[in-house]
Amino acid sequence: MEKQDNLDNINQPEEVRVGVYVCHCGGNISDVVDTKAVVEAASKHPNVKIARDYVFMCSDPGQKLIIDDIRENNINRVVVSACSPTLHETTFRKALRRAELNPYLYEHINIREQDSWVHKGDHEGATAKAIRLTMAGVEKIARQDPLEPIVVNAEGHVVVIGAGVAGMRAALALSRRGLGVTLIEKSAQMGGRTRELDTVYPTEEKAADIIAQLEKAVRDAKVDVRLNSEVEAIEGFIGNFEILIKSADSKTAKARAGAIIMATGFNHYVPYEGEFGYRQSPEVLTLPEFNKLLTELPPSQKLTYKGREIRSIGFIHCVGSRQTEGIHQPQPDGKVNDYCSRVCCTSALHTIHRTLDRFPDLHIYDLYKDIRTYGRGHEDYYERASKRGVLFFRYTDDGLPVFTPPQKDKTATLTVKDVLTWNEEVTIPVDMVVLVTGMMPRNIANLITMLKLPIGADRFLQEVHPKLRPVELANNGILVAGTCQGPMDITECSSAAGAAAAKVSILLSKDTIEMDPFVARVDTARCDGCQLCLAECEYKGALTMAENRAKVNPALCAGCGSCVAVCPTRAINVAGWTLDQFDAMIDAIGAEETESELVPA
Amino acid sequence: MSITVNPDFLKEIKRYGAFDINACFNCGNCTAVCPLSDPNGSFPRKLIRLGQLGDKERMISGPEPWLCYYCGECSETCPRQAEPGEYMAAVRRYAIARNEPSGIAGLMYRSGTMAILVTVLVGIVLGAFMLTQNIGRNPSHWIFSDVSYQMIHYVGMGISVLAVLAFLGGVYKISSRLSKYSPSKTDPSKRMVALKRTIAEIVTMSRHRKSTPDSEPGPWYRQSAWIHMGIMFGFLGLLAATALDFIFLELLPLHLSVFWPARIIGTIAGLAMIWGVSAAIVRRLNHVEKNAEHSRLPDWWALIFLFVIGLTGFWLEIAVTFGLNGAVNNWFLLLHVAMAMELVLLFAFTKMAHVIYRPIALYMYYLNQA
Repeated sequence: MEKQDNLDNINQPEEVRVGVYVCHCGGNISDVVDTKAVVEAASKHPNVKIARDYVFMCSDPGQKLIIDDIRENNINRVVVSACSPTLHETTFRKALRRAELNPYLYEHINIREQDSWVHKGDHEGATAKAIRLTMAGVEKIARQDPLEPIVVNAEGHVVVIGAGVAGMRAALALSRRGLGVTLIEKSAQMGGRTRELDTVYPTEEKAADIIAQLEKAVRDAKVDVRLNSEVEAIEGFIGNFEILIKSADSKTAKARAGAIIMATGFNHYVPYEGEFGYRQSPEVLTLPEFNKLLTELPPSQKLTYKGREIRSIGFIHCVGSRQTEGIHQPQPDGKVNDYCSRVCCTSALHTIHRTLDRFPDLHIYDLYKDIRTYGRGHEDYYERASKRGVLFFRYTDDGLPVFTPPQKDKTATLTVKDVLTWNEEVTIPVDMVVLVTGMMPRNIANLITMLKLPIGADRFLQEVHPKLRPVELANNGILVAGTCQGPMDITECSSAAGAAAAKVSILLSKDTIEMDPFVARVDTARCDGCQLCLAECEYKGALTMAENRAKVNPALCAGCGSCVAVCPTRAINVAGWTLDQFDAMIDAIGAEETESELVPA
Repeated sequence: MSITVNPDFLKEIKRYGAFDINACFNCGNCTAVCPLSDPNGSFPRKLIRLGQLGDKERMISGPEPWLCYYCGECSETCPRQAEPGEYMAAVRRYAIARNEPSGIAGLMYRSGTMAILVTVLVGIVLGAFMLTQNIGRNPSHWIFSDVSYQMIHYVGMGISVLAVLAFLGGVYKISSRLSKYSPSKTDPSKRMVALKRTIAEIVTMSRHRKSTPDSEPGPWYRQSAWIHMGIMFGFLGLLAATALDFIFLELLPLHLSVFWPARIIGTIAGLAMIWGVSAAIVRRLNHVEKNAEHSRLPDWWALIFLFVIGLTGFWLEIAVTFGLNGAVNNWFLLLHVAMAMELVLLFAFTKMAHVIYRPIALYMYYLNQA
């Protein structure tokens, strides 16, 4: 057979003896897929020496089947067709290790999420698909070399960039876990954006008290705090970063770190001139500006601003958030902010209550797109606002509020096509307008370029997966905490910082870090030094040239395969996912119908 | 047409009830569950919104306030406990106040003390007037020895004229309000259809029954729609009996037996009314009628008056029939007559005014639908 010839290319001193195990998943799979037919089809492959099915492969007796076959029947490659690899790939790798077989000589085929669960009504088709997927697994593992995990040294020190609430919380948690921490802060003091606030929802604590407590804890924990400092350069890789810190007086210092936590925070959206009258009429402020005004106002019975008494205020939500292309003015990068800034709804309502606490007779109007008071206790701010007489209006992109500045004897007005008034136009006389502005990431372009950090369409740093790896970046050893990742409130920043610190603690819990070996590998005999791969590589330092041949730094390579795609000589491959393996898998999946598939299930 | 917000109106409508309406966040559950609301007459949410914005003219210029019978489903369903049903009642009170020019109705609705003061004062003036004037005090019967039949007769006619004027005033006011928001041109056949449907509705009370919650306990004679019918037909019957009495005994020189026909109609109608009024009062006192929990004195006014008038009426009928001559009965006659006249005189200033507004609103509603 042609495929057999391909096998000769790999250094294999021993005969390839594959064991195939088809899991019933207690009926989850076997109710739809004819597992016996899969076993029968697999056992016809010349390299498959044993094929079995079992009710729960992941159970102890299921794993024992594999271990016994390795020990007693000299099986040296294993394919398990079962659930998603996310669930049990590691389980079976460990079983191989217990049987003293290289754990990477294992292939996990998903015939549950990708087969039985999605083809419930088509037993025959599902069985045929399971056979093809399993055969592809057999072909792939037959071409697999034993691999060893990549091991690097782990520095027991962490650099946290940004000393806002997220950065301080992360630094504190790491320090309590016994790791050394350097906390780098650009400004002259810790606290970040929280410093701008008076009280905070939902606890109504004083923001200054929260910062003071955190600051004291951070100092007590002997965190190396570098105020007035910026990151000048970052070299190295997971476990072994080297950070050059430059202080305001141009002094530089170096820090070594096993991991880096990004906690660089956010900027307030700044309305353009004329956006709802901003910077054209003095009575139009942003929420942060209004908060500042309220905090700095001396005690008085009346709210006065620039010598005029304010009797009514209109708040406009979603300024700089949830924008629509073609309706809103884009940012310099040509994109509008189409995301929700999440915290502003509750934040605006919180400010409204603060205002009413001091000036109960004020008329307050709240113009929203949707009220998103999503967190615990947030809805209460909304409900109480109604009960205190705040009048709500709902607008859409078709009828954005229009601000008309005051005329001679008339106050300013907001005119809105109000959804709550069956889309009729409503005119609201107001003495002041507060624009509830959203969040945008801080300008950290230098760090993003320097480290090739992944950013989302919203310009915030983007995690690997929002659920499975929510605080890790694709760059190994670099994590995110707080609003540099996306809009969140102080509560959420604290959770995110805790999660990032916990991840780092696990990563740096030993002197070394083990990583999966699925990284690029160069066949120096085939490489002709054309350097096409270097231009394609997204990860700084992962590919270099040595003796006119491409060279991989396994600690920096993410195994993305971009280099593989451009190599004209097939000299570069991702270990465990070689081009030969892919070819063989595709051939197996696209093979002509086998006899077993024609047998009704 | 742009609405300009007037934030102070909510304070005003709260003086008529509707204390919790601020809590409304315009979800529309109330309108969704309402058994009577439809696109032609959409409430309560629309009226609540108009109240929040302070567009008071538009709020009372549609038929909607009068299409609601306050079954209370909306208040039960409201996720914010804003009591939309109570708000509808407040809007009706406000509409009654706005539809009469003197301001007396508003005064009585906003203040319980004022309501009692006005009622007692008017009663005393009427009673005193009839007691002290000496016109034709030539008792044809012992019962008329303190208050003469002639006196009752003339005052009654005067009051009737005033009541008719007030009635016409109310009709004019609400018609001109409603016509602003009704189609300007409608062909006569549509008007006939609307009129027929309105009369059918008044006779059958089908909308009132439709809005009776399924949870309403007890047999028909304890349900609000039937009770209302008892009061309404009782009242109309008594009105008819009085008119007949006037026609037969005064205009025509016929001296018919006391049993025919006014007395019989009057007795049956009086019984129906007494049952209706008593049942309604019992329901309210037992809190079966949830909607009465926030009701104002002028809302109770008609029930109390009808109850006392009915009771004294039967007492007097018994007294006259069995010749129970006594001072007490003369006083009862005075009370009976004074209250009956006050009821007619003040009907445009109390909940009784719905007698005018509801049928006209229904007519407009049906006209829009036709």
